[in-house]
Amino acid sequence: MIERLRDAADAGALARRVAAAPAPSPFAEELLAFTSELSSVILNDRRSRPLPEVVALGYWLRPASMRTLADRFAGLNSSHAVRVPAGLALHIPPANVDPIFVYSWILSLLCGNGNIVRTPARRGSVAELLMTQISQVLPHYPRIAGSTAFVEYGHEDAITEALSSEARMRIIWGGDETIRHIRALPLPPRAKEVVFADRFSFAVIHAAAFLALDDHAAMELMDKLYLDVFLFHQMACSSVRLLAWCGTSEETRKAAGRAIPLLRQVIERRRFSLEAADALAKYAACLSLAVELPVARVEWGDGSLAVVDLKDGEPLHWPTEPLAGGGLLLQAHVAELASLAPMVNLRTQTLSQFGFEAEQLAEFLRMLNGRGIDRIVPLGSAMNFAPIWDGYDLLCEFTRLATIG
Amino acid sequence: MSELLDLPIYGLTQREKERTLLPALAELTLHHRAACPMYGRMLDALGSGDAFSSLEDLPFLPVTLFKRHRLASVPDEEVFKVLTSSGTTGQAVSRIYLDRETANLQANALAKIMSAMLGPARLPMILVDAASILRDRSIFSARAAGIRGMMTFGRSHFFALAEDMSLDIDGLKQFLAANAGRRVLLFGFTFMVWKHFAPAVEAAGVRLNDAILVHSGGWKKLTDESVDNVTFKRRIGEMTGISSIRDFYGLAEQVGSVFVEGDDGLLHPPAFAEVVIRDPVSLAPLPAGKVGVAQVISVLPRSYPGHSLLTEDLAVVHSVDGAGTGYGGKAFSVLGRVPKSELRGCSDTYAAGRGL
Repeated sequence: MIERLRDAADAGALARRVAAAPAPSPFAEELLAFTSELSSVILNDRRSRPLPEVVALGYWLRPASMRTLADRFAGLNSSHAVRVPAGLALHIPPANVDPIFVYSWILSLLCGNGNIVRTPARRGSVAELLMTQISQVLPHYPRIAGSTAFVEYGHEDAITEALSSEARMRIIWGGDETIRHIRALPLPPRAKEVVFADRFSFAVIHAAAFLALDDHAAMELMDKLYLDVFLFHQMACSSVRLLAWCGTSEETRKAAGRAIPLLRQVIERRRFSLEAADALAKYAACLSLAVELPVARVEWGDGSLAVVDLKDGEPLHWPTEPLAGGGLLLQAHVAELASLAPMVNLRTQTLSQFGFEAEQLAEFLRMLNGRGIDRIVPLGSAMNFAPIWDGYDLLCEFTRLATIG
Repeated sequence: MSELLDLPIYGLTQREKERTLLPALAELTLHHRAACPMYGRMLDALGSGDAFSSLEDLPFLPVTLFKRHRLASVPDEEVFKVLTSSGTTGQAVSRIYLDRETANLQANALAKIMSAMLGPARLPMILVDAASILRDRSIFSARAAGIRGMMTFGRSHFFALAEDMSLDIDGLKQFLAANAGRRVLLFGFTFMVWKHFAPAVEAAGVRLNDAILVHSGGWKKLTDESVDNVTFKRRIGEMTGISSIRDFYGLAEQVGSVFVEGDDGLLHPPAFAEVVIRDPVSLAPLPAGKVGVAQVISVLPRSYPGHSLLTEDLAVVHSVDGAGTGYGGKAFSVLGRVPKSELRGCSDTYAAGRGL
């Protein structure tokens, strides 16, 4: 299923082959049948069950969800403009979030493009499982199979260049270093690049609303926080790095005091485990943060979750060094949403929230005036992929508009 | 402090060690907390108090922090030299700020340890390295500092390797002829001895029958070749004739405070140092027999807060106050580095594959 590319000649031949293969038109029945079958295979596979990110992909591929997407796509067309495929896409997925390569591929496929998908260099077990599941379904759809190639190769620029030579679109899923590097490799004059740079995300919980929850609901909410923090080892752009409690000083302290022990219970129940090297990096990061930020306390606990509690009333900002993942949660206490503004910048992607009214959140976004935050989601949904990502509507990015009249 | 250097170097029982070291280390912790503001902030964040009930109770800094922060407990004008660890190109290096007092303590401590092992007389000495390593005085790399430090314990020094790491066979033969009938001391980095020295000595047919080899520098490359200490000693013996071989373990961040291999083949903390094995995730102390990360404790570092450091090395304590061994305290071995992390941020898609 995965084609191993040895050199530029290999890559060039593959690119020409895929470019010449006819792909199904946008949202063709054939495509919807394929996504539906892939969804069933993923959701019925018992190996998927312990993997929330795989189950989420399976759900996203269900017919109902794909129909919604198809409807939205139809809405992007008009009597004066038809959305047509952009053309052959080259996908460079990230190393840290395995399922991205599937989302990127499927969306481009649904937009009617042929696709060359570079599989993650060091495929984790999740990517391997997804490839197995895809290979069960893909052979039943010859036109999709023919216009898709999954490839693997080292970091040979000559191969990336040869693949790019036939591409109309190059999609790079971060991070900054990768983008800088690959952007320097030539693309055909009419081709474009869609890039997803390094981002950071955080969460905010209305302390009083959390304190009003009964024990069961409070535990459920902490399970959602777990997903936002711990999935992908907290290394995704959408991973929650900082949790802000919003309310009076008394409320936020009380809420944090109730929440963190519950979160630790969830971690234990979900059997989160950490490698020694990651734990040591996390410990060093905690102490470094104590130098850089106004840290009140580092709560190491059993090592699975390190809470770095920030002092009340001190101005917030992101640390300058990239944050270690693997369960390092900065915790802030703020009086109102507006107090979070100083830590929002162009690198801020997702805000996971609980307990706020839509209007409060809209007001916050208006106040930021485009300085950051691409999406605000309910707590527990930070990792849910959406076809509008980092401010791009991928259905638009992966197509062109042909106008009439 | 200097009284601690005069204690029987391996003679203290664990209980005696706790009793003598704890007050000194508690005082050092307070000193650094007051003198190094960054260290103070770290201890505040950890919620560390000022009283400690045992050595395991002392706060510990990960060694990697010396790469990220300027951690010094003396004003700039008292810094006598800055020791850097030999990082590979592009990697951050540790910077250790030494004043005269700490540098002297380190030298004295190392002298105590080495004379306990080598005896009072200075032996003719072979350095398994190139003399050129000492020429660049602009930086004090850990390798050069290690060589320089060890040279004090021998005389009539001979550097056995040329700059291209080939063996100076003629020079070696001359050195051995000039010192015929005398015991010879060799010092070198474990990997250099294994890779560049012993095979060339064997090929040249030279035998070093009355010699003691002291080596250090870590087992990473040898572990990659599945060579453990027992195999190392056997093969080096076969190739060179050297029968007395001693490994030692020490960090560039704690120069002078080294753990030397005893007659039992295990490493022993000297009277002024200690090792604690910790669970690599919970960081809780582990009992003897359990493998974990090594925390190294030393009374020497006064000019920088390096008296209690969490290493990235896996180690295990085999016994405490082992009966009949002649050693008090802990006997341990180092098993190598903690395996590298597989965790990748978004920023590493490209870098991930490139480095490997």
